[in-house]
Amino acid sequence: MTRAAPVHLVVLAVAAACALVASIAFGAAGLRPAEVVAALLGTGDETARTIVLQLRLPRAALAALVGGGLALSGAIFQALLRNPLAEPYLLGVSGGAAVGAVTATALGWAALSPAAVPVAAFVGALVAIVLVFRIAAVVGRSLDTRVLILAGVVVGAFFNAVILLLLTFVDVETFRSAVFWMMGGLGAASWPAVLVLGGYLVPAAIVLLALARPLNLIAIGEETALYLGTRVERVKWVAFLVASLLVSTSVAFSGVIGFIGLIVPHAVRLVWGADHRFLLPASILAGAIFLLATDTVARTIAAPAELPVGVVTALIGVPIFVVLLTRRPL
Amino acid sequence: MVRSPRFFGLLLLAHALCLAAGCTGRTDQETPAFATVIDDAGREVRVATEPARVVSLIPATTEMVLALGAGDRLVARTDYDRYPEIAHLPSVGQGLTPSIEWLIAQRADLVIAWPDGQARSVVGRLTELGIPVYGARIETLDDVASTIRRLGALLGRREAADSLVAAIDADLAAVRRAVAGRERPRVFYVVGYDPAMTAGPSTFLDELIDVAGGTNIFGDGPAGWPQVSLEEAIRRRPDILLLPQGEGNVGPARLGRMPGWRELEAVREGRIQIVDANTAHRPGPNIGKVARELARLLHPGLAVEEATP
Repeated sequence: MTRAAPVHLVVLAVAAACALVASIAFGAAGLRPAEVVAALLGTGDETARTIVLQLRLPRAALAALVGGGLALSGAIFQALLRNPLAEPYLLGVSGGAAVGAVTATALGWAALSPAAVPVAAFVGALVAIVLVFRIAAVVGRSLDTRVLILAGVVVGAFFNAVILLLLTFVDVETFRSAVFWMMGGLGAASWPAVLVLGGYLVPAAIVLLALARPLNLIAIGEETALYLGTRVERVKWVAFLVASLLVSTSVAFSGVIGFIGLIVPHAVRLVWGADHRFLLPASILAGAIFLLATDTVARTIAAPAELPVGVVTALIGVPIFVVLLTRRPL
Repeated sequence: MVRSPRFFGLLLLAHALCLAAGCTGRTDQETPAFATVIDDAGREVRVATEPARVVSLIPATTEMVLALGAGDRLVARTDYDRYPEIAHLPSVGQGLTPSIEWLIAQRADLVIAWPDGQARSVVGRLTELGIPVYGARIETLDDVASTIRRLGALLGRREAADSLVAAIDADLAAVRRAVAGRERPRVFYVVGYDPAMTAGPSTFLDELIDVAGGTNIFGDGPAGWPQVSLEEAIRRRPDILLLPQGEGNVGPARLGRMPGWRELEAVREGRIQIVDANTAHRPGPNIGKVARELARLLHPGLAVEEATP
């Protein structure tokens, strides 16, 4: 880790704080800064308090958590799979989650409790993870990353077919809800979602950050890492499972938000280098900044309608990434 | 006080959950309600006072609010609502993803929306925040009448609702009388062409075709808006195709050149009639007019008496 790295992290943390403030300050309702501050202090108009405390704050917090979590798990997957196309949804998590969510909607569980769809999505994601790792474990005693990628892709394809099959048989309303769910978004962020995701993200991030050094060695090559005393298998299993659970939790609350988990770690690597002791925390912060900023745009630019945040992440992210890529080749 | 930290933690959690549930002193269960109805999602919708700032996210219910004489209470519209009375209102887009905070800032006191029942739903979030949301699922002609009555109750326009429903019933009855005894052409209603989609049983369009003196060739098919095979359509030998225009459907000329479609005798012989999708596809107060229009298309030269409710 270069000596400048802590400085860069501080810069990123400050930028993340600014993005958080901006996403609380701006919104479709066009509150004045004084009204926002008053609402945060618990005084002022009740409407403004509802907007700031019940809508903007939980949404900003969820955006930061989901963005940070996706970028972190993307960085982990890219390191473990040594594949630049690796991203959080590569191992079938999104397909499994979508099957869970669509099933819960189609069977009418969604009407019973607001927790039904997130729980069903999480369970679906877990089923996908178990399937993928069972397949990989059957093939060989050590976790072969090539098998893992292929297992993830085929399990994902299978679940996608299941979704299409389910959607053929549901009514218009369920169809609409399901498609809406799969688009991904932070529209219904609430404090329970923030508490659950935060409650999982913090310990998961600590575990994954602690694996930064062995991940550096594994990224060079598993054999080298083994010779240098890394318990490669154990590191791989722990990192894969913790990162997959992280993705599952975030999908459960926000659906599939593409692009962040793929691009943010690459961008951080292009700008500051590939040392995981820096890359992992920097990816969390950069992912949080990116999703906070793009969600603020998605919420405000077409107000009083909202754009799907996935559209904005790609529209803004791709040009930025192309500039980075052409300036400093991988 | 060994247990106080844990107690404090529980208190914090309870507070957070309470915050999340939106129970921040807004429990107005005790105060008498202006009106209470059960919506199509089976939930009780309760307005404390007469709603003055209404948002309808569904074109058909927007038409109902206008027809009930409460158009001046609408504070927003969707991209699909283009009536001059409300064209000046800000649009919340297609109606599926309105900005919730904007609705709150507008102090909306009644929102009419699709009952999505989803975790990440607009309906759920608005309800948590104390805004009455009426979930409307309108499939049949009976649904149209019952929705008009319930919206009338919520908006304090019961009498207007009763006379609107009576007028619609009279319109439908007049059309039924006019086509009685006539030969009933076999109708293929082309909701979409690729893949072919039609109106099945338990839809207002299936019922309207029947009222207008036609026989829906897929009236015994799957309910709702099923995809159908062209082979089956050819086998069922429709006399006439109804082709809605205005929502990006294919035009009749192109349909006549498309493989599969040009195999239909009705298409080859030009028996295609154009329906205005923006009117016909809305199960709202205009279904009487739609029935008249369909009757005119299915029975050229037919005279329908003016309805007198």
